[in-house]
Parts: sequence; C-alpha cells; structure tokens
Amino acid sequence: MNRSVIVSVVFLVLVGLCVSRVKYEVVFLRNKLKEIDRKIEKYQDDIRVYNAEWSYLNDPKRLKRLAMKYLPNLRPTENAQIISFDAFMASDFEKAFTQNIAPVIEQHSQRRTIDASKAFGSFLDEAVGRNGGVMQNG
Amino acid sequence: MAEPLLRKLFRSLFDGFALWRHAKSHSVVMKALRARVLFSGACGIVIFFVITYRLADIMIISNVRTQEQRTYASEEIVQKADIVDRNGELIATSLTTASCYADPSVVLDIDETAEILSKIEGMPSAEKIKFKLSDKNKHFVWIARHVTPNIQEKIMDLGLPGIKFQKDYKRIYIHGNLFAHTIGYCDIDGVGMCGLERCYSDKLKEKSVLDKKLVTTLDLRIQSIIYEELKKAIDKYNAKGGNVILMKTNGEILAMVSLPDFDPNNLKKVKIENMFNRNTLGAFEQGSIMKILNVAIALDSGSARPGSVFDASEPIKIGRYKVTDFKGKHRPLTLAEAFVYSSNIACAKMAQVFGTNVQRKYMQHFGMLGKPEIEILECGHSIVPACWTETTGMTISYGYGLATTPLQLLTAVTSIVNDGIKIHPTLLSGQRGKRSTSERVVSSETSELVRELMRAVVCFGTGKKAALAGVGIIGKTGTAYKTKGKGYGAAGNRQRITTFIGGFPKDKPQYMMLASLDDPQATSETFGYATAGWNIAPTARHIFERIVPILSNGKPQHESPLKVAKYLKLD
Repeated sequence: MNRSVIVSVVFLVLVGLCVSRVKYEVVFLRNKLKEIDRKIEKYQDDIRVYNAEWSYLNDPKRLKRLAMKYLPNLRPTENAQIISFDAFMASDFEKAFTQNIAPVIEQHSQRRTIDASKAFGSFLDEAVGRNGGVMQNG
Repeated sequence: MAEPLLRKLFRSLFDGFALWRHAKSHSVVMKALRARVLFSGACGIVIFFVITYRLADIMIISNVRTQEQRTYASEEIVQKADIVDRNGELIATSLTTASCYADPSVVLDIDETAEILSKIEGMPSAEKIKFKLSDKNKHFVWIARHVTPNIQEKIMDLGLPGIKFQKDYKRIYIHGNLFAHTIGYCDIDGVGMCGLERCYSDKLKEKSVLDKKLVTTLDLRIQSIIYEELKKAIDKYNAKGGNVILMKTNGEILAMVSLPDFDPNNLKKVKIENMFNRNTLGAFEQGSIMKILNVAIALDSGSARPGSVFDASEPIKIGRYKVTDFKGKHRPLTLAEAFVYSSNIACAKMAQVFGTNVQRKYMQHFGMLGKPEIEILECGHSIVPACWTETTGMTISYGYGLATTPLQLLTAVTSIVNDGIKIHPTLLSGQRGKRSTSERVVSSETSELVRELMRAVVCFGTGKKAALAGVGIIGKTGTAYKTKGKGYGAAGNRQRITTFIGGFPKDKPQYMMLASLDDPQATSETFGYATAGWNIAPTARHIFERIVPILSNGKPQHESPLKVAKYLKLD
C-alpha cells in the first residue's frame, strides 16, 4: 500500500515536472514563433520597399534620361529596320555586310582579317541547319 | 441544532490542530478564540473579495475596453494588394509607415503636449493638436498620419504620456501621374476613390488576395510613350487637353491617357477638372469619325456598295442649317470617295437611304447609346437625341447630334474592323476569355471593306500624316466643334475637338488607337489649319513610330494591295 502511494506520488511529481517543462517549452517556442513572424513581416515590408524602389528606378522616363546621357549614339529600333527574311535574302546582303559590318568587326577585333562574306555565309548555313531547316520566313 | 455553515468550515479547517481540541474543554478560552477566528476569517474574506474585484476590473473589464479601442483603430487600416501592369511592373503598392495617435484621457497636460509636438517639423500646428486632444472622454484621436521614421523617433524620444504609434499603410503610386485616371487613387485610410482602386477597393483588401497582385492589361512602356507624345502635342498645338486609348483587338486596353491629370501621391492642390477622365466620362460629339459607323451601316445593311454614287455637288439645306463639306469636291462621289474625302453631304445622303430605324438599331448594337463597358466606375452615358428624326439621322451620320465617350467609339470601331466580332474592353488581365463572344456587329465582308476604306484615308485622304512606312496603318480623322450653350459658338470663335482613330496592320488589325486633342490651335507649321489631319494625325504617327517596333516584336508588317483604289478618283 505504502509502496504504491510512493510510486504514485513519484509518478505525479514526474508528470508534473514534464508538464511544467512542456509548458515552458511551449511558451519559449511561442515567443520564438512570434519573433519569427515579426521578422517575416519585417522582411516582407522590406521586400515591398525594394520592389517599389526597383520599379521607381525602372521608370521609363528615368531610363530614357539615362540612355540619352550614357548611350548617346543609340536610338530606338525603327520599323523600317525590320524586314522579312525573304526581303533580306533578296537584298544584296553580302555586299552590305562587307561594306558596313565587316569593317566594324575588323576595327574592334585584334584577330587577322577574315573573309567576312564567307563567315556570314557559314553563319547562315549553321543557323538554318541548327533549326532543322525550318527557319520561318517573315 | 445544526451548526452554522461558517463555523463548520472553520471547524473543519482547524480540526487537525491540537490547540483546538485542547481548548474545547475550556469554554471561556474557546469562546474568545472562536470570536477572534471568526473576525480574522471575515476580514480575510472581505480582503479576498476586494482583491478579486480589482483584479477582475484590471484584467477583464478594462482590458476589454482597450481591446475595443484598438480594434476600432486597426479596422480602418488594412494593407492592400499591389497593382501591376501586364508585364508585372509595379504600378501601385502599399508601404508600411507609422501613424501617430493620442489617448486624450491619458494625456497629462494638453497645452504642453501640443506645444512640444508642434515644434517637430512635419507635425500639425499646436492649435490643431490642442483641438484634437480637447475631448478628454475620447480614447483615440489621430495626431499625424504616415510620419517619417525620423519624426517617429523624435516623438518617441520625448516619451509623452498618451502619445502612441500605430502601424499604418500608405498607398504609393510609383509612376506618379502616368496611370492617374485609370488606376485612380485611395484616401488616407486606403479606401479607393476612383479608377480601379475604387472598383476593387474591397477585393484588394481581402486577405486571400493580399499575397497576389491585381494584374492589369496596361503596358507601362506603351503608356509612357503615349503620355509623352500626347503631352508634346498638347504643348505644340496649345490644346486644352487630350486623351488616347490604345486597345488590342481582343479588348485588352494597353494604354489609357487623359490630360490634364493629377498626381495620386499628392492630392492636396489638385484641380477638380484634372480628375476628369476624358476617355470614359466625357461624352462628346465625335465629328467625322462617326462616318466609319455610317459607312459600315450602309454597307452591312445592303443600302450601298463601295462604288455607289452620292451627289455631293450641292449643300443640303435642313431648315435654317446647311450641310456642307470642308474642302468639298462639288461633284458626285462614290461611297469610297465620300469616306476618304470625308464628305458630310454624301454621308447625310447615305443615312437618308438606310433610314433612322436602321441607324438607331445599329448604333444600339455598336454600344453607342449606353455607357462604356469597363471595370472602372467613372463612365459617362451617351447623350442620345430625344427624338430621332430624319434630320437627326443625317447629322449623326457625320458626327453631330449624338455624343458618346471616346471609349465607346473606339470599342464600336474596333468591333467593326475586328472581322465584325463585338469586343468588350477590359483593364484586367485574364478577363478576355470570360467576356469574349462571337456576337457580330457587322459581316466579315463589311469589316474588310471598312478596313480598306480606312487604309485609303491614310494613303490618300485626311489621315496622310498618320502614315508610317512599312506599316499598314488604317485610320480616320474627325474634327468636331464643341457645343457652347445651345449651339457651337460664333463662326471664327469655335472650339474644336480633333480625333484620330486608327490601328495596324490593315489586313488583320491587332491594335486600335483613339487619340484626341481638345481645342488645338493653328500654328505656322499647320499653315493656319487646326483640323485633325494637321495636328492629331501627325501625333498618331509619332506614337505609332515608337510603339510599332515594341508591339510587333520584330515581326515585319505585311500589307495586301488596296482593293478599293478602283473606286477612288484621286484629285
């Protein structure tokens, strides 16, 4: 009888300790969770500010101003610069390439002079071949 | 006799003590002890109840009251979801700020508190703060909304009792004026007041959509280009204002600009007229643009063919008014010529042929007699003639007598050129599928002929200055006098609205645009003219020049030969 009472009391004390420990653990974790929630909220607020700043920095007016300042020789693409592939093939592109583009390449590269028209021809062959011969016209 | 309950209780409490048993035999001691115990117990019980009551008051009653106040304040301030353009570029967002509030019942010295707070830059004046704090029965009054972190720090350093801060959200419109009329703005509590902000005010606050974004059909790049070009045109032609809408032929609106405008981030000094959205609220007589609808009705109803001839050699007299042509050809004109040279006389005669009933039925079908269909609530109703007589029908044919909003007109014309399939304009991405219909407004053949005629206007007619090399631009210009009282004002002192409606590419238009200028003035560059062909048509070309390379995605624009050329006798 006495032994069972002692065992019960010990058991109760142990259970009490466990419950107490679990309770304190829960309180600790709850505080930690609150802290994490606060941090998440803060990070979310920061992200919103960064997004707003990024969007502000990408404002078309600002980009235009910067482009005009730092890229004075570049202009937006005009519609006349876009032609169909058929029209491109029909034009004397080899001559145009040799006269206009090849000198620029030569000027900017330190390599030996290349046969520009040949290089361009092989580029085209490669491009058509890579697309399985289904390069779309227009 | 049963012992009293209290005595029983004390007895049971002290039952275990030896003193009690021992004293039991001595009646005198017993009596004295009993009295003392009873007295002490009573005192203990009273103290216990007092403490319990006070604890309940502090922990439950007062706490509930504070909670109620807190709830009242926080219910008003809710974060709203972001609004982005079709490419995900941010247009409107809510940023976290702090707002300063006071509990006047806790403030110790109102005068001193007001004086100290007012000395901080950016805070209201001392009088204003005093007035706010004057009611001691209140527990919550705003002192300053959306204060900067610097001001917040200064106030917190002061440690004034009753002065506190609450987390708040401020709506920021990243691009300022750019989307003012379309996106709208919110009041200080985040309640939408106009535009999409007003229409979706509650939806944007829902917790389920907070992490999501409201994706619009607008395109920041295009809107910016159009805004810039329209502003240039207004300055160049000294116009009072202007408006442009660019729409895909599936109804998605890519850009909507109305000038003058306002900065939704700073509404303190905004003039009320700047808040007027010309695109959806302003109902105007649209002038010769209406000839597109007139010709479409004539062709679709079978009343005329492109080669049908209408005599435009003499003006038409209607009562004391005369229908004349601006730079008339004074000869019989084919339908195609009447459209390309914008003949009022021929169009009035066309309307006489198909009659007012047919005209009204088609106008209803085009959506010209109601309100524009769009998500924003600031939409004006068409001004429809009370009595649709033959004379009214004739004037409507060339753009007078029926006032509609630019959006309605663009929707009607886009439906006609979109193979005759009715479109429903929208500002929200993903709405196209829900609202797409196969409802026809005109036949496919009529649609093709109208496109051909609109192309002829740009090639040979009043829209020549809108032409762009390599792009099959279709279009029509329109110049309308603004109403002044019951008429249009004295000759020579009339104000005009010039409009261009057009799109590209001709064979299957993908984009349609309406551009308007309010009261543009003649310049030396326009040789004294202030008509649409001289001011809004070149403006439209400037816009097309910049947006076509972006919208065509590097695809060249093809164009088939003009089929209606055979009906035109070019002078």
